[in-house]
Amino acid sequence: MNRSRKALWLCTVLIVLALACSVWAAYPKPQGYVNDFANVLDRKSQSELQILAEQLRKDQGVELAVVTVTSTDPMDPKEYTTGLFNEWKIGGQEDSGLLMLLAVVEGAIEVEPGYGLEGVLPDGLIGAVIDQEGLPHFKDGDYGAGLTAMAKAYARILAGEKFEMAEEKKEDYGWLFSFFIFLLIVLMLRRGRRYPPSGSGGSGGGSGRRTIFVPGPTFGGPRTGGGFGGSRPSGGFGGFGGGRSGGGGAGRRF
Amino acid sequence: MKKGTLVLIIIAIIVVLIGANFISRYNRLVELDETVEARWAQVENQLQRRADLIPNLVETVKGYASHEQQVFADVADARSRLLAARTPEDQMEANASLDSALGRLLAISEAYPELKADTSFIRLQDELAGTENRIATERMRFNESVQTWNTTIRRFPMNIFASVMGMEARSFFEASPGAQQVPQVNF
Repeated sequence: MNRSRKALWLCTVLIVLALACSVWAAYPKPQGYVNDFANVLDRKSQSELQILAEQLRKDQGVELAVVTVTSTDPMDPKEYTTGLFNEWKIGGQEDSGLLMLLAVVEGAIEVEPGYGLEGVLPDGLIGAVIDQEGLPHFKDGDYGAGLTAMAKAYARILAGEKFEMAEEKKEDYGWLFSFFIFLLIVLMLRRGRRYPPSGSGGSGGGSGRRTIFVPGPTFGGPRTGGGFGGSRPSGGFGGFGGGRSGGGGAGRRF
Repeated sequence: MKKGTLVLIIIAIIVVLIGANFISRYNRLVELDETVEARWAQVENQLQRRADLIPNLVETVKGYASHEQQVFADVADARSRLLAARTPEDQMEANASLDSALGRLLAISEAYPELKADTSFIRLQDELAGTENRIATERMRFNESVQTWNTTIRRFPMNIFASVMGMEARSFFEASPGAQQVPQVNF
């Protein structure tokens, strides 16, 4: 009895200490949807993210917050992300917030959905978007491009589009097959051309007209930045809408 | 006669005041108790969610490492114990053993590069890591509510009231030592 009471006391003290610590580690104040505290985002990405966030707010009622910090030091990045989310209360009545946090020193990207988005954005999907859209850019140190690409992907998913997950990277022999067909055609045509000269030339006339048309791979036109309209940043940021999160989402180190 | 009525009225007022105080204290305790229960329900939700993810994860790992039977058996065993546990204490204990079994399951994946690169394995690992973070968050919130409960019923004069009502301090949900580290998906 006495021991369990002691243990209880110890626990209480520890938890009070932990709470006190979390209060000391004050979070910065939100400056808008895009908060480049680490100063690593270029102008263009910042305004693109800003426009995306405003569009999301208007169309889906989803509040997207993009945050870069130099370090999350006393806490690990995930803990910091959950803390910041609930401190800023990102998302509206339906807890429809989404926080993308990048910590430079830790080399960490964390994405956390509010309670209301857990259904549309399961952790596996969140992770897949980080892998496919974010990481390639982050590995090059291009944080702005990575965050923008990720934000666009999330916006498309939230708008109801299906996100194409890259299948397992199996060796693709498709090109080899088409190459063989191509080779076969070339060989056949050449055979057709080589043999006639031995004859009197009666059938040789047609060969000159044979042109081999090889359809080249058609690359898509220049990638346009998605179809967002010409809404201007409205300047006034009235704070976030009071959403909560439960610590879900996914993260990566790069 | 007149004096008697006055005394009676004073007594009545005191009784009413005490009664009102009693009611407000009681309601406060009910409120706190409900909060603790609700927070615990959230923790249970996440534990359940994790238990639901595990069979898929095990199946995926089996596809690559079918001979690691011992680990699969341990995970299945810990999982069914968690699902069977009824009291919070049992659940906490079962959860701790599930933590360690899962830790071993994920550790063997290190030895299979093909498994580590499998997209569905990565998704499942994300879901699992997300759920463990959720458990951590809900556990923290549960512990906060337990702390409020415990300090409230230990304070004077609530402690007298609480002990009359038979209300007891609750125990915290501590993280099992190995569970602090959420599995990370690294590249």
